[in-house]
Amino acid sequence: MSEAAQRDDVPVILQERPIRGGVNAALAHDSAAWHVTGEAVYIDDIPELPGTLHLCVAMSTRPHARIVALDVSMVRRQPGVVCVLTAADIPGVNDASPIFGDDPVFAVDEVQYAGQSIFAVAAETIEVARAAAKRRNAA
Amino acid sequence: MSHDIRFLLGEDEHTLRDVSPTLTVLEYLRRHARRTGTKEGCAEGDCGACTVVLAEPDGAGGLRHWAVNACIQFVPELHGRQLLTVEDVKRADGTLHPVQQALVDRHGSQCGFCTPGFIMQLYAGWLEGTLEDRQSVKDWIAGNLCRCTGYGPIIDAGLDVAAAPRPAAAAQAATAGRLSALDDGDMLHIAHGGQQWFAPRSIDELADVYSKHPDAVLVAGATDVGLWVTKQQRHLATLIDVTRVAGLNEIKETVDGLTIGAALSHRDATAALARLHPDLGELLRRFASIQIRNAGTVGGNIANGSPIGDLPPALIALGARLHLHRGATRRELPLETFFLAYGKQDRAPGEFVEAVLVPPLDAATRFACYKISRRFDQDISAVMGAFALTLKDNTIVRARLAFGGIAATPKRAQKTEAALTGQPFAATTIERACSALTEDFTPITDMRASADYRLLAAQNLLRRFYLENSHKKVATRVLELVNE
Repeated sequence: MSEAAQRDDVPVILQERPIRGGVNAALAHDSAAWHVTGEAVYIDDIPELPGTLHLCVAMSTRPHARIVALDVSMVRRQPGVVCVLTAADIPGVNDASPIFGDDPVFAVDEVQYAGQSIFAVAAETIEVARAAAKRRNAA
Repeated sequence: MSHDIRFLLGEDEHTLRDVSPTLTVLEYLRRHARRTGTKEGCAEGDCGACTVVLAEPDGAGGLRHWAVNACIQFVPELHGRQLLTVEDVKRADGTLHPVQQALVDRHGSQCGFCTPGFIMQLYAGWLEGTLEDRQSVKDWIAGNLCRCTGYGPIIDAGLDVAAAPRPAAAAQAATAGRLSALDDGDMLHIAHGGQQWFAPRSIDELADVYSKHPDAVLVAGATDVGLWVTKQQRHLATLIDVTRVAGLNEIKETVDGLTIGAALSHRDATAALARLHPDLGELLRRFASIQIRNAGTVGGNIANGSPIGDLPPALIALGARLHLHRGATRRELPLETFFLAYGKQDRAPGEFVEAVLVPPLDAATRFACYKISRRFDQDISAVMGAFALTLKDNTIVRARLAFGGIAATPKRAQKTEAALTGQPFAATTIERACSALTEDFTPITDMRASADYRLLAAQNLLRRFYLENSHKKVATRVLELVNE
């Protein structure tokens, strides 16, 4: 029998000490009463300031495809649309990844997954933004 | 005709006029009434974060309560009803209701976003007195998703609530009286911004309105139509709600079988179908969630024509017949012939499903239906199989097999039926039937299952059916293994 195995056989005696502080006590979540009454306020529950715009991100419907052309002129022309942003509108580097530089904010030339952002529409209401985002002509 | 949507929000009477009839109850609550306790999660009736409770007079002086997904219900559905949200649950003195206190005590919330939905679903269970044991609580909350707390503490909270005293009958009777006064029994007609909503109250009224507006969308619970609005942003010009039609939400049990009114909810159909065969009860237990089964209707599940509706295959195997109604004429046809092609049913403009007749099962017929889905509860079937074999001296004299999820419509497996008919009920016959099944179906591959999986699963269901009806000792159901 090896020495290591012999040491494992030695019983370990833990000294019983009372646990102090909040550890081991059944403390309620400090927001629990708000959660169960619906009173907890989430971002979407906060009333919007007048003039707040609503954003809809237009996403790729294909898992892997080349973007040959992107025409958002019809999107811009929809009543209630205030602003349309594509990769060309990004002043800095078109990348949202923390390390590897491989996560474009808006796809350019190629989409690599279904759901990848291509452009964004800001409009006066969410309904207008969603409807406008569908008016794209992409090939 | 009545043009106002009159209802109680909590204890307060509200009237909505000049609103879009496709305004969802959730949007109404959050954006119009500024009750933001009810949350939007998926906006398609899957996650349960928007669960609210509706009440209406039960006809016996009290109230009938049921929980629904507010995200896919439209505001005209509120007419003559009480809408209860998480803001209404607290007691008048400001203390927490036992449902709320139990969830706090059991540490049943973490981020808290799903919590209002769980509260309302458990509240509905407490009102109904159905939170009996662990399994019943699990069934009850199968339509509420939590992604951080975990279900253990929530189930514990549900069990804690079971013993809490029910609401006082007198208060319920008072509310029932107030609700009766809100609904004059006339057809509701909402017109707004180029949209129209009709809620006829009799079959004749429905036939008349639909004849005049044959392009209208029939709404029979809105569990699919709701998504046309929330997910597809479709503009629906004319809608006819069939769920307020007297007689259309009834079920009759006679020696000829069950006559199920088209507007009967899945939940209200469950008991009678389970009596017809326990597999039908089990199928409905796993059919979407309680919130969806409360809203969705038998007629809607059929008329919708979806290839993945779970009821049609079961009803086809049972030899159900469909009753259709148009203007002053009625016709009847075998259910399987109603489904012509993907998205296309044998239904003329202005024609609506009135009822489905399900004949009784005779003693010589072995029946089973099986739902195969990636998740056990509340999931869409990858394959749904239903079989009815009539045996005489161990010879198969009649075979009706129907499948969902493996063709463009719910469909009978006619070549497979032919391979079974006249043959002994034996393993060799079943294997020949499994071969024939490959001629009946060429399933597709999608996110739910591959074509190969679907076909193999369909064949294995036949083998399972044989095992269950020959060697009783073999465990063939997931639950048998889980419970062991």
